[in-house]
Formats: sequence, structure tokens, C-alpha cells
Amino acid sequence: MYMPVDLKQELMPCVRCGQCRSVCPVFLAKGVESDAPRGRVTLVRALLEGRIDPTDILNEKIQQCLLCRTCVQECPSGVHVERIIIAAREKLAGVTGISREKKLVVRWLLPNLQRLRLFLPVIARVQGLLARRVNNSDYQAPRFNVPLAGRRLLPVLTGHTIATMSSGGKPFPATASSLKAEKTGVVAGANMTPEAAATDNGLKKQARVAFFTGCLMNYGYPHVGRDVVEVLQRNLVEVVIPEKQVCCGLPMLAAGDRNTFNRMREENLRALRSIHSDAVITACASCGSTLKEFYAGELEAPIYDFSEFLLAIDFRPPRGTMVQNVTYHDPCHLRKAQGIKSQPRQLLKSVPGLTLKEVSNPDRCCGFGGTFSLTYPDLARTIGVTKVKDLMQTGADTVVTACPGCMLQLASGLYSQGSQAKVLHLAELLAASYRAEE
Amino acid sequence: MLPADLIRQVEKIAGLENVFTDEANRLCYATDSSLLSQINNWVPDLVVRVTNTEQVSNILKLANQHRVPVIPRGAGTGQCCGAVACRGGIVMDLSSMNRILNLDLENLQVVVQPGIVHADLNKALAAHGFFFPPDPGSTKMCTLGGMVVFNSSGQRSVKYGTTKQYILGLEVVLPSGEVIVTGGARSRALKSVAGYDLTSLFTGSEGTLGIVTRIRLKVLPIPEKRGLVVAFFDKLEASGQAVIQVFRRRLLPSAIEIMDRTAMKAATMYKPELELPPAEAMLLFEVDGSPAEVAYQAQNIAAICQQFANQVEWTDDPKRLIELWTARSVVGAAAGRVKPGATRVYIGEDICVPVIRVPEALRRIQELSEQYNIPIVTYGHIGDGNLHAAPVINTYDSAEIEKVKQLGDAVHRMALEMEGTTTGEHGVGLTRAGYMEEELGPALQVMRQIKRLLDPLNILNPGKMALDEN
Ligand SMILES: Cc1cc2nc3c(=O)[nH]c(=O)nc-3n(C[C@H](O)[C@H](O)[C@H](O)COP(=O)(O)OP(=O)(O)OC[C@H]3O[C@@H](n4cnc5c(N)ncnc54)[C@H](O)[C@@H]3O)c2cc1C
Ligand code: SF4
Ligand code: SF4
Repeated sequence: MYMPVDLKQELMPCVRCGQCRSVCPVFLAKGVESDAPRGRVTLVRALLEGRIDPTDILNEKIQQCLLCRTCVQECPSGVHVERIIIAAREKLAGVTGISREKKLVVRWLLPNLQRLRLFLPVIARVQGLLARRVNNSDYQAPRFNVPLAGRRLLPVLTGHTIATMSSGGKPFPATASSLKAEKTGVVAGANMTPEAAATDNGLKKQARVAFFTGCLMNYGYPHVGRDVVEVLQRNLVEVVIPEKQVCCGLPMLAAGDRNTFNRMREENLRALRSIHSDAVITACASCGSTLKEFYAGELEAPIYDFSEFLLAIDFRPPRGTMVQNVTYHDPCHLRKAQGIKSQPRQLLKSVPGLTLKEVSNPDRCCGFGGTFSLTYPDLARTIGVTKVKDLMQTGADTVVTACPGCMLQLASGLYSQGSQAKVLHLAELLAASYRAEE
Repeated sequence: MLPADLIRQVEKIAGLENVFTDEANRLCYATDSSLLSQINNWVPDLVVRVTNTEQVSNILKLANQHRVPVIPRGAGTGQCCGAVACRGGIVMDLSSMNRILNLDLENLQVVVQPGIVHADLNKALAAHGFFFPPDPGSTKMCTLGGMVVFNSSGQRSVKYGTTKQYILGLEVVLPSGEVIVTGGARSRALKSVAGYDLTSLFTGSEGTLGIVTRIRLKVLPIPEKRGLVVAFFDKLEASGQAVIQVFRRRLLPSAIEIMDRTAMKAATMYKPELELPPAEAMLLFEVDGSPAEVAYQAQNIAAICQQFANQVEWTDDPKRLIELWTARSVVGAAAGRVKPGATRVYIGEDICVPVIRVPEALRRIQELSEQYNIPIVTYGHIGDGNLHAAPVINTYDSAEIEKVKQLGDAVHRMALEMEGTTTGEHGVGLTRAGYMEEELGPALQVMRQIKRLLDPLNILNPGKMALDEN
């Protein structure tokens, strides 16, 4: 059970030096003290000491945080602003309640995605009415303000999940093979790589891992998940996708809804424990940071980000040439929450033909922030544009990142700025290079 | 509470979106980093964010009519309760006025707005090979406006001096709302002795005489190379001797920093990989200039230190330079971590004593630490005698707060008794106002007369710097 932090102790080390003002994306976009991490810490402290009432404005200041932890990385005193914000949101949820919109997402939509996925093919079929595809990409632009998504680009839905896609099955609610793929969780079937087939035939495998897919990757970017599976298989890793996994719970935690978070956590722990694995892998930075922070003690298998895991085992670099100028966007929940900076870059550099151009201000957040971008779409867009301009400055034709949330935000941002640059997950690029070997 | 009419007029001047009267926004402007502001609840009546000189002027005129205090504020990183509305009124946030107006580098100068952050300015200058030398520890967040009115400085003041040496002219809005330019109304000259030196008067005025809205600054070319000498001393006094010898030998490092045993311990607790040897004090000498100059200075300083220290190292390798600086650069942050469940507070944090008496001051601070039973981590700029003492307490414990206030007082009194000052670079504000009679003597009366002349209604940052007779 995740318990609230000792707020008093978390607040004390803030010496109000203001160093966090120099990095907070929300402050840099808005410019007043109450939007700076220091301001938020001050407000929470005043709330705790009863010096201020939980007014709407105060609530907004506490909600208007991306939980990106840029301030945490910057803070010389080691103040965990994100923990303070989460605890404060929980307190505020008890007083002012959670907004209707957020409730819909964190209490109803996300916890039930597993069941709702049966409707995926229906949505996939009618999505053209709601949105139009942009530039032959995998994205579509809503024709009007879509509830909960606003006007951002959305991935084109195929009706697939990672499991159905990886096993070469049909989308839901379809064939026996796709249902079987979901049930057994073991990825096998038509799309199996030669290496995976070889491991099946007794070739020494490096490890057996449980793949925690995360909601956005599983339903919005299943092809990315398939590529994660493929890259792992190419490295002689057996991949299992535990069937009963649900949302990692971060959106619930971020909304101050600890009960739903704990429920999600319990369900996931059960799902992950139900199969034997040497490691739990995720390729979503936000899921990864949540698992590492709130699940780790409860699981026997260690938790790894995809890139981290590849370099922890005996990694076989891909040999297919990919002549591309790429830049890499560090997801906050990877760089700052998990301290993973070098691994994705090292993997990118292993791809023949690829040129990596570093972006200035790699610590700058993309502005997605999960439900933040639903609640504050304009602010999320402003922050996103700043980031995207930095990325465009590199002249790269491909922006690679390691989190589906960032992918969604960057694709919208680049499109809004008229950039033709593609957004890819690291796994997609690696998989493409492996495939190009043949 | 301010009259509704006044609020409406401020809204008209600055725009509705830049005026804040709600509790949450105002509360965020009630503190700077001083302990004093933390333990009081000096919430301003209104916060206004300004974007140009005209707005500043109009708001000051209005404030004069209504006799409402106005407190200018940059980033609120001050440590002496300077930007705090201890008598209510309007806090004016200038940090959005953050543009570089003119890079006049052929003339070795730049013109900036007061809200520009120090590091942002130096980043822009570095692209052209220049820099603004004063280097406060708060570089990433403090504004140039704050630096001007506090006459801030940093480690490199040994060689490069303080902010005032670089201010060529200022645009200042007087409390009446009138706008003047010091240092020559249209001048781009690098020096001028025309008239009273009003630039110097406003520099260091702590926001009590006028609001700075434009700054003309002298800049210098970035030195080609830097080098560093690090030395560890068995005896605190020996470190002082080494510094004196360096000056006697006519060497001029850009910075000389000292960390005493407490500071070394704090840095090691925070970053065990530092592996500092056991010692009573550690000195860091930074030298800069041409490669030959750097090598010459560093080698000579190292040789002098050899006579007094038990371990000496010098380097001009940029990578090693960063490694060696680490101990000093983390100590501020590390201080708060020496005692679990406690944090550092800013009080008595900025005394400055004669260089020769630094070791004595360090010893006496440790005696005070024992006497009050409060851990203190001390480090500072031995090159100019400026010491930063960081007491560490549980800020939820009112008894500890009382005790640390007494400790701060003792540190300030010790500095005065040692022919020093209560503040080397952070300013007087409210925290040190009580010492000004003693520290300044009859000169304080002259300051009060100047204040009365420029601000007869006492609306600009009232209560600070002991300018009020009562
Ligand atoms: C971690 C840390 C390290 C520090 N290290 C150093 C150091 O090494 N050296 C050093 O000198 N200081 C240091 N300081 C102190 C502080 O950063 C400086 O005094 C800085 O110049 C204050 O700038 P500010 O923008 O935050 O000003 P604020 O705190 O906002 O204001 C400071 C004073 O200036 C007035 N003011 C602000 N802007 C204007 C304006 N435009 N016109 C008129 N008055 C104005 C305010 O009323 C107030 O009295 C440090 C502070 C911190 C927190
Ligand atoms: S959160 Fe950290 S960086 Fe921000 S004001 Fe507090 S101590 Fe300074
Ligand atoms: S977590 Fe990100 S958005 Fe939130 S206060 Fe820190 S820097 Fe700002």
C-alpha cells in the first residue's frame, strides 16, 4: 500500500533559494512566483499550517504542475516537489474533490481500458468521421474538439493491441489466435523473429521478461510495443505480456486519488507475479518511473526501462543501415526520475548510418504531463512549442524518444510548427535497423 | 486592504492579467530566502507584474497619491528580507522585464532590463566572448536589478570587484514617478565624472531610493584559461598565512575560497566520492589569464601553499578543474543535510572580516555553534574576508528558531567587534537593520536625509536599512 509522505519533513529542506525558477517549464511559460516550484512549495506549506484556505486559485496552482521533476533535479536542497504536489493534491481532493473531467479519466476510463479494448476495432472503423489523417503519417487531427483530447494529433487506431500485433493475429474482437495471444501472454506466432524461433528451439536465451506495456503504448501505439518485443527477441530474450495488467496508476496518483492508484497497483502486482520472469520491462518512461518507485519492493524481478535492460544484457547491435539525422528527446520520467540519459543515446549510436544531433536544453520538458495536457491544453501547447523549436533547431529529420506520452505531445507540436520531422520510439528505430539486415 | 479604486487603476496601468489580489498569489511574494521572512507573515496587499518603465512610473505616482508602500522585487533570492512587504503595500515584480536591449560590445558594454537573470546574461555574452564578472552563487536565478541594488558579488571579487565597478549608468524611476538616467543621459562612454556619482548612490540602495528599470553595464573579455590550486591545511591559522603570503608575493588569484572542517564534513556527507583528506581547512585558489600566466600563478601559489599545507594540487585541465571545484560548489546545498530532520537557515550568513582575521572568525563561529548547540557549516571567500555561516535547525521548533536568532545576533556582533561588517554582499534589508546605528555611526543620519529628500512620503521599500528614525 502506498502511503502519503510526511509532508512536513518533505517541505522543510526548501530554503526558498529560487533556483527552481530557472528550470520549471510552467514558471518559464507564465512568469509569476505562484507558478514556480518555490511558490507551490510555499503554498502547500501555508495550507498545511492553516495560513491559507483551499481556494480555487490555490487548487489551480497545485494542479498546474507537470510532475516533470525538472525542479527536483535542479534543487540543491533535494526537495521532492513532485511528492509534495501529489500529497497536496490528495489533501485537496478530500476538500474540493477531483474535477469531473479527471474523474472520468482516472476513475472510469483508464481502470476499464482492458475491458473497453473490445471496442477498439469499432472505434478504429469510425475514427475517420472524427478526425483526418495527416500527411500519410500514423496520426490524425481531430475535425473538432474531441472530448478529453481537444485538438491535438492522435495516433491512428488500428484496433490492435501489442499482443495481437506481435503474434500476427487479427485485431479484436476477432480470431482465436489473437484471443489466445492475449490469454497466454506468450508472444509467438507468425511474426516471430528468427531469433525467437531459435530460442524456442532450445538456443540459449538471455532472459525471460514480463513486458509491462502501459495503456498508451498498448492501445495507441501497439506497433511500438511490437517493435519492443521484436528488439528483445532479436537479443534472445523471451517476452511475455501478462494479460491482466492495467494502468500503472500514475494518472490516479497525480490526480490525488490514492485509492484507485492502490487498486491498480494491486492488480498489476498480481498480474506480474502470476508469471515467472527474470525482469519486468517497460518502454514507457512514466510507467517505468511509477513501477520503480511504487512497485519495486513488492516484486522479485527487477524493473528495467527497455533501453536500460538492453545494455544490461549482452546487446547485439543492429547491422541494418539507417541513413537518418536524428535528435533525441529525453522523457522527464526517464532522465530525471530514473536517471537514464546515456543508454538511449548509446543505443542510437549503435545503429549504422545514423547521425545523432544533440538538442540544446535536453532537460526541457515537452509539456505533456499526462492528464495535465487534458486539463490545461493551451499551457501544454505553449510549453510544447518551446521544446519543439529546440528540436527543430537541430535540423534532424527524426525525433526519437522513449515514452509514448512524449511521442503524442511532440507529434502535435511539430505538426503545429509546420515541421515534417517524424517522431519515433527508440524501439522502432532499432527494430527497423534489425529488419534492414535481412 | 487597498482601496478598490487604487486596485482598478493599477489594473488599468499594468493590465488585468498582471495584477494579483488573491491570497495564493500574494502569499508567494511574502518571502525571500531570509529566516526573518519565513517566520513572519508579511503578505503584500497586491502584487503587480510590470513590463515597462512607464508602468513603473505610473504606479509610483499612484502609490504616492495613496501613500501606499511599493516594494520592488526581482527573483526574491535576497537573504536579508529586502524584497518583502513588511508594512504591506504593493510588491512590484520586475522579473519579466528581462530583455537585453543593446549589445554594444565594441564599447565593452551592454544595456539590459533589470529582470534579466545573471546566468542568462552571461550566456548571451559568452556567445561573443565576453562576460559580466561578478559571479554570485545565485547566478541561475537572481536578477541584475537585484544585483545592482545590493551591489552583489561573488567568489571572483578578489580580482574583479563587485557589481558597482561595472555599472556605467542606470535608468531609475524615483519614488515620485519621475524618470532619470544616471551616468549621462545619452552617454555610451566607459567613464565619466560629470556630476555627483548618482550611479553609485542607487547602486546598493536596496530598492529604497528608486526603481531601476534599465542598466548600462561594462563587460570584459572572457579570460583565455583558468587554473586551480587546492590545498589542505592541518591548522586553520596556516591557511590564513598562505593567503597573506600569496598577496605579499604580488600574485592576484581571481578567487580564494575557504572551507573549514564543518564545510568539508558536510560536502563529504553529501558526496562521499569526494574523498577529502582529514584537515582543519581547505583552500581553493582560482587563477585566470593567458595559459602562461595561469601556469606561472598556479605554480607559485602551489609552492607557497607547500610551506603551510600538508597536501597541495594544481591543475589547468578543465575536467579536473570541475572535479576539484565540486567540494566548494556543493557545500551550500550540503549544509542542510548535516543534521537529519533539519535545514539550513539564512541568518548571520554574510559577515565580512579583515582577511588576516578569517581563521580567528572561523574558530569563534565554531565556539558559538557549541555554545548554542546548533550545527553551523562555514565556508566563504577568504580572499576578501567574506564568510557564509550556515546554521542548521528544525524550522518547526520554535525554541530552535529563538535560539538561532540569538546565534545570528552573536555572529553579527562578533563581526563588528572584529573590525568587520555584518554584510559583505547580501545587504542590510530588514535582517541587519538593527546593527546600522552601530556599524555606520553618524553616516546613517546622512543616509536618512538622502532618503527623505528623494522619498519624502517614505513609500519605497519602507522599514529597510534602518532608514526610518523609529
Ligand atoms: C543560494 C543563494 C546564493 C547566493 N549567493 C550570493 C553571492 O554569492 N553573492 C551575492 O552577492 N549574493 C548572493 N545571494 C543573494 C542574492 O541572490 C543577491 O542579493 C541577488 O542580487 C538578489 O537578486 P534578486 O533578483 O533575487 O533580488 P530580490 O531578492 O528580489 O531583491 C533584492 C533587493 O533589491 C530590490 N530590488 C530588486 N529589483 C530591483 C529593481 N529593479 N530596482 C530597485 N530595487 C530592486 C528589492 O526591493 C530588494 O530590496 C545568494 C542567494 C541565494 C539564495
Ligand atoms: S524547491 Fe529547492 S530549488 Fe526551489 S526554492 Fe526550494 S530549495 Fe530552492
Ligand atoms: S515538477 Fe515540473 S512543472 Fe512541476 S513544479 Fe517542478 S519543474 Fe515545475
